[in-house]
Amino acid sequence: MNTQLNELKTLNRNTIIELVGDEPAKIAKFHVEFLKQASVILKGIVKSFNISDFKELKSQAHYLKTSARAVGAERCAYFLETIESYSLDQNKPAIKQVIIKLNGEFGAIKKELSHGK
Amino acid sequence: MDSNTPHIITDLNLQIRFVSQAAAELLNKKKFTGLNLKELFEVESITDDLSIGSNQSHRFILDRHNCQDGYCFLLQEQKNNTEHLDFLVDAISSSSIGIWRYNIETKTIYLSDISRRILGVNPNIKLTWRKLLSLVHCDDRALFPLFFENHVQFGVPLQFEFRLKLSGQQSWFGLKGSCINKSSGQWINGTLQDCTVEKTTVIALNDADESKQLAIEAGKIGTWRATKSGNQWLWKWDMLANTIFKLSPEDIGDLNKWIELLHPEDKPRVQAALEDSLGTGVEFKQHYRSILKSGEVIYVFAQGRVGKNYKGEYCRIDGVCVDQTEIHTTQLALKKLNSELETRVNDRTAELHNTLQKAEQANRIKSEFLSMISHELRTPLNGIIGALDLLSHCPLSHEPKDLVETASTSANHLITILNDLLDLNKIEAGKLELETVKFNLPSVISNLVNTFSATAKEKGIELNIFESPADSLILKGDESRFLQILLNILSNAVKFTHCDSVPVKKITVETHINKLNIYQSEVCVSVSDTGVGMSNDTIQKLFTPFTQAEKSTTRKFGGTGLGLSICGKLIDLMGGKICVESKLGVGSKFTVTAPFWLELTENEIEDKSPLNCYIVGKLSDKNQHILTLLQSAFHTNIVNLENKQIISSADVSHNVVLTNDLDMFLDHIETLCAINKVIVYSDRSLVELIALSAPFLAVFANQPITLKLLEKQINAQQQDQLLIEDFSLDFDSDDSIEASLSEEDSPQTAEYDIHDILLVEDNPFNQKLIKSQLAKLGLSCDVANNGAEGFNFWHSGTYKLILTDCHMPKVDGYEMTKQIRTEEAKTDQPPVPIIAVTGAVMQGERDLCSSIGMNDFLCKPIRLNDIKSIMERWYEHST
Repeated sequence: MNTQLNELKTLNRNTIIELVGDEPAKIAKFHVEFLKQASVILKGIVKSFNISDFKELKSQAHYLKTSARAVGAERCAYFLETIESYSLDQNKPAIKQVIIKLNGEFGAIKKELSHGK
Repeated sequence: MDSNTPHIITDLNLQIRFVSQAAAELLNKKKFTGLNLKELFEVESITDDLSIGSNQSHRFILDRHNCQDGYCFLLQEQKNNTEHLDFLVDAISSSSIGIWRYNIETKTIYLSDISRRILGVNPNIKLTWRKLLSLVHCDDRALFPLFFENHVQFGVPLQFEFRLKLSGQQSWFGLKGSCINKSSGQWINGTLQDCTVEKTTVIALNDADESKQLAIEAGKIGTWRATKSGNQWLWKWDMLANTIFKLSPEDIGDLNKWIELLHPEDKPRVQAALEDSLGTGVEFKQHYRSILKSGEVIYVFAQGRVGKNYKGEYCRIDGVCVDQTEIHTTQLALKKLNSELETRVNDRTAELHNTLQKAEQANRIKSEFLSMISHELRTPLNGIIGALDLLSHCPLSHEPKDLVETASTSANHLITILNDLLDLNKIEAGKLELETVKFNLPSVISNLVNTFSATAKEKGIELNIFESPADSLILKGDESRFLQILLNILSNAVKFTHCDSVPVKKITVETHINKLNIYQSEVCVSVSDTGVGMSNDTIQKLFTPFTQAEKSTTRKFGGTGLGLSICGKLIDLMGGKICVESKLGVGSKFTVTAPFWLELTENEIEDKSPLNCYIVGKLSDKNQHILTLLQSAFHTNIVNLENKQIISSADVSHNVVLTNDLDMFLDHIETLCAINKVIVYSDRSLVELIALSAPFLAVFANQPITLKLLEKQINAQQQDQLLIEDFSLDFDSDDSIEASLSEEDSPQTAEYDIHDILLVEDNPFNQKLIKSQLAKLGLSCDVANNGAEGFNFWHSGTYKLILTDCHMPKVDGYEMTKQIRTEEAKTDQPPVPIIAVTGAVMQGERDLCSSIGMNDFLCKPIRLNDIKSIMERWYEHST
């Protein structure tokens, strides 16, 4: 079994603490900032997918991936990196499934943040 | 009498006085003087008119006649003795009369063959008197010595009956006999006859008679009769009849005495009826009154039937009479009581009718009031809800947002209650009409599950749906009301299962349709939960309006108690039923059954698409259910991957994998990669892991799932494009988190007028993050959004350090570094430290950065310590 994948968290709060220190207000702000950015980028990813613009797709995935890593959205980062990889292969059916899963992860982060506020 | 007639005249002592010539010749004797007739004929006594005697071995019949002072005996010689004897024997044999003889002195007994046969005594056995007595019924044994002794001593006739048990059956015998003195001693000769039949008949007759008599006496029934003698009717009645009319015993048979007592009003009718019966033979049947001598009035019922003689003439009438005074009195009392009761019932009914009318009027007024007030409340409430909705979309801080949410929830709850009240009112007033629309059960179940699946998941409740595959019939009925019932029941299940005291939270919805005939079907949906459960008492009052299961329920779980009441009334309207099974602490099961019409138009048989179903590992119950649903909707080809069998047909676009075994699934992952548009179903616990392990595959939980959802998921898999609206995070307008944090977002970063650090980064998030990190170290920076901007910033300013992203639009970090280094060389400037900040972590990336002229390397995300080290190394030592 792939234990590394199993250990990936939807939102690892320790990651952002390591970046900006244990300041909840500031951390929350970054979380919100990330979701706002994700909301915009996700739509861009879908648009690029629909027109099979794999280069742009990869670029957008990469763009959001750094933000996802920063806030500890480990599964999101993993899916974004997978999109980057499949974009190189132009594997559209696989990219479609990853985008759907990525969307689910954003929902999970949003829910986790709402519950944790 | 002439001398030719053989006769002898004697005195009363039988001393011979005269012997006729013929008699002397017959006796062949001349001298008879002084002889006694008894001596002459060797007889002991002559008591009967006909005796037999013997003289000189001749037997004579002595026929005695009375004459003056004596007797005249006619003699007749018995010339042929055997002929008479034979006659006697034949007569006795044919009539089965047994003969016996008993010697009083020696007590010896002789029994004829017939006697032995009818007594059941073996002809070869020597029978003694004692032995004979031992055969007799013990109760009858005493009769023998009693009758025998009385006969011998007092001349009492010897005649009695006794019982004997023969071959297990009791038989009756008649014994007769008489004592005879002979020279050989004193004998009792007699006869013995089996009289069982006669005796049994007599006993039965006596029994019947006694029974009849007792019954008649018990019923106080008098009997009466009349027989016709010439033209005269002779009347007779028994003592009971006499007692009824309180007549004297001497009045029995005097019809006038009876007529005198008849009530004057009844007399003509009764007399006429009696005469009619006697004349025409019709049955006499009359109720009448009699006035007794004491003045007492009695009520009598008399009935009689007329009989005919052999000539067909009416010759007798037999009947009964019954005193019905007591019955009549009771009937009168009952009539009176009935009449009183009827009056009281009528009065009470009238009162109840009035009360009911008042109650109905009050109820109508109440319903109208409730309806009116509900409508009136709804209007402003809708305004409140609308306003709250608008307010909730405004940017608000945490506390007001919470207050708006609370107000909105409460207002929505209130409108639900008002809707329930209106529904209940409508139903109670009989104004609710059910709609008839076409629908199918899977759609209803899909709506039901969609409403609650998210809530159930959030509350940690395992929701399982098991639809019967045959549920896709088109039904006609009130879909929305049926859904309303199901929503209410599932809502209750969620409410009462989400409880701390419930360790295993599970709700199962099962459906099936029974096709009753081509026109009708019965839909059955059951919702079972592992919730708090109910007692039997609670179940009884479950469907009563405004009644919660327990008094504490409202406090604990909320609600008005209207929901199930409405459900109960709606299902009654539909002609269905809701069955409840529940056990406290175990859970509840609600089964809703309702009849629906079937759409008669023939459905077009849709071509089922082919589908490959790959089974990896052992099939779980939930996956088995998925397989059943798939088989109902697709032409399903089952492929077991255990056999390494791969069927990937290009023309089969639907491919489903059912698995619950992660290891085996991963073993086959390469195989599955090759399959077109595959979709994986697994138990919820494995879904995330499979989704992460195989991100390129669509992975769904096998529960809660409906037929509609399954079809939707499989069909969505066929779409090459994604719908943008499915990917709206709804975050553009959702400022809740941001708003709540706005106050905390105080500018802690130091703001300096002169910034000597340049950050080149296209991602605003990273810009903010790095700025924040620098601020944490007491530093600040200028920000350029790409390499071109970064070069311009550098060119126009003085920076001690540049942090740059590598991958950026327009001019990237590499290009910018090249430009800066070229410009520095041209103008002979000292090189500014340029630090690469990149998400790529490969060694090649690092080498590239160095070769271009970058001084150091930071990997995203940049930890605070890393940026601090970089600053210590490059910024603080920079001139």
